[in-house]
Amino acid sequence: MVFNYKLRKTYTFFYILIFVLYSSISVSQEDNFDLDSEDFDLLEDTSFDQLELELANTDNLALEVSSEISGLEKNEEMENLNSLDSFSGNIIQKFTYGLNSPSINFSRNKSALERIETIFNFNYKGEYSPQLNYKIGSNLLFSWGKWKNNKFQTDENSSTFKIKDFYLDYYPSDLIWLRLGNQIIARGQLDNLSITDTINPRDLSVPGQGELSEFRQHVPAILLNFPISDIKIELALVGEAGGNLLSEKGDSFDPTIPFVQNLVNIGGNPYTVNYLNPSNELEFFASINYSFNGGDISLVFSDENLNQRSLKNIVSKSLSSQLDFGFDRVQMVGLNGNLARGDFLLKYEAANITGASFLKMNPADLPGSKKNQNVLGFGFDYSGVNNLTLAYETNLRSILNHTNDLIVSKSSIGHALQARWTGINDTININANLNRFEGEKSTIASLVTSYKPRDGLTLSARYVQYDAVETTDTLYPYKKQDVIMLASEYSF
Amino acid sequence: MIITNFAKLSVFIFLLIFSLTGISYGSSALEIMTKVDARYTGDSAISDWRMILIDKKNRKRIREIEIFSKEYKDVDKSISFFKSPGDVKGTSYMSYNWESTSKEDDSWLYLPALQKVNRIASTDRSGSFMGSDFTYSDIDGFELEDFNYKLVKENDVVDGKDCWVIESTPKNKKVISKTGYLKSIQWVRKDIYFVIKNRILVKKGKKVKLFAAKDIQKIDGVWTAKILQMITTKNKKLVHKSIFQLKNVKYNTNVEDSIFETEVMQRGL
Repeated sequence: MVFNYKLRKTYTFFYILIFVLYSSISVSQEDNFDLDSEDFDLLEDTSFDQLELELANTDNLALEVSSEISGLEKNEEMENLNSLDSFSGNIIQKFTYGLNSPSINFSRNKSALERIETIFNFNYKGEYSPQLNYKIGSNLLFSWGKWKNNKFQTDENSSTFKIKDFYLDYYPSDLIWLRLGNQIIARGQLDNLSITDTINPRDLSVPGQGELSEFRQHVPAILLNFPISDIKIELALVGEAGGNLLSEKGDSFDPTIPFVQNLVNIGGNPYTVNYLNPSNELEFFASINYSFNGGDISLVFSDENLNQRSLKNIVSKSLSSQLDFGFDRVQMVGLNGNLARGDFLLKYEAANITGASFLKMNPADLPGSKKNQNVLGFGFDYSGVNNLTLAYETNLRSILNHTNDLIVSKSSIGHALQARWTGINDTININANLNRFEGEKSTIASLVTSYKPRDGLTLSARYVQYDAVETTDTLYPYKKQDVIMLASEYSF
Repeated sequence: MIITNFAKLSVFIFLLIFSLTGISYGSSALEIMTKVDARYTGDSAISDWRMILIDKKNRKRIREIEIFSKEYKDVDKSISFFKSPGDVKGTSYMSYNWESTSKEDDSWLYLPALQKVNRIASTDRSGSFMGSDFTYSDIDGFELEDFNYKLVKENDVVDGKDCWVIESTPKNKKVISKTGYLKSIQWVRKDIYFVIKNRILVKKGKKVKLFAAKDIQKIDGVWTAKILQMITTKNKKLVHKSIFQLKNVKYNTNVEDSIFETEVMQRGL
């Protein structure tokens, strides 16, 4: 009953949103469609009177904001205009407020300010020679404090510095591209339920509270791209990729909470978590890509460490138990592609994965069983409604040679639904998402609005709601972590 | 036949281009538009544009774009790179506009935040091009045979130039869906067969858009408008307008075939 109510509430919220969006667009005020109207003559004439002035003013404005434009104004040679050297970045200020009262196991145990963060992203792209370019990118996250001991403590501030894009691009010829260094290699077709986009681990420390672009983690890699006839080959060798980032102890998505709350009962208490290094740090990816009129298709192969760590061992100590999480070495053979037809963009992915282990009914019975699995995904974007794009994705995971002692069922299905609306010349965006986890009743629903009052400045608000029903649901311990986030982003 | 790509925006947009000879006042609208469509516009081009977006409170947003384009026997290809401001820098858009009507055009968008190239739905072209009043269809161009044409006025003077006035209506719902156009009236300069003014009734919000081409010059033998303006109106009042200002163009220059690949969108110029 609780489940039905919660699910109904979430879906109703989503449908209402879509209805409001659609109504706001399709029900438009009647206009006077007389294209010969003298009012248009007047508007055109007035506009042209202003045009020269506008362009003159804009020249001055543009000169202030872009050094590249000064090159244009001076009518320098085209080659100079194409100079690659450039500096860019953004500063993001975020406020996150927790709406509910999570359990006492979390640092924030009541409705309160969860965190305040300032993020600086800097990128420099340069050209050493026409054949050799480089990019240096970094990220500095400053946390202004933390909720602790029933109050927001500003003395708990900290900063984290990360190197992000840090690579060399080398073009031995027009057709061959080699990228060497820390990078993101985003592939696959499905955005939320991707199957073959596994090169970069993801930041899952605050699921649903950011864009996909913020979640992908850079990896040190060598990427080689070259064509053979109309087919493009892409090879990637990755070292020390690591796994998905998880929340820290006490934070809102502390991964040890299910153990502390005995939702996963493996005996012994308290627990500490230990992340094991993979036995093989090297990962290999290959894809064969072909584009045709109306579609793209890729065959993919990988020998990699599964980004999501699994429980490998429990080490009993005198005062506590240590949970060892490690990597499964998996091999994947798959394909992904898309087909553009009319207002629809159809997307599909499929893969056979070997080597992943699954926990048993008794999680303390380690190691888990290794099983082969087939995963099939399908999705579409529909953009036939004014300024509105509706997207749906689903995936089906089927475990081969499934046995009854596994905690997961033989097959499981996940869904993701999205509505994106853009209006007023891209100054306002509204994005509604509903993501139901594979094989369970956990859902994340979010509503994001953003507004661009001027170039480079974006203001946004995000509401995220977590739902779960069964104690075995992944989000069950975190279902009271609903948040509202406010952010401003200044890009330069 | 496709009237093609963004790089030749100044000469293509809304069937802007004409050749001078062979049309009398008695010519049918279709013959005129066929001449527009058939005009030589160069085999390739590299151009730099400034896109200025102006709202009704006269607040401006400025984008700098570099565009490469090339005509092939069966397809016109173009790729655009956004160079500023910071929040769109690195964004690129590529389209293949096929001559054959049996083939839907291909287009892809690369967003640097996602570091991923995404294909765009075939008819998802009536949406705003990067926040401007121009649509992807405006940028990619239209197919001559998608519209019915009617000569509504043989003589009308715009900017001191004698023009034909031609009404275009989409032949079917698919064209409306693809272009977003319900009807348009175009003013075609008789001396150079150039559409210098266009009033368009668009499906979205039943708004009227006003197009104008200014500062038309012959560059490398190609008639080119250096300023293009599109005004969106509602109830005959300005809602928003966009100006494309051509800063530099080179026609028939060496544009490598290899630039029209999704990998180039990803790695940038």
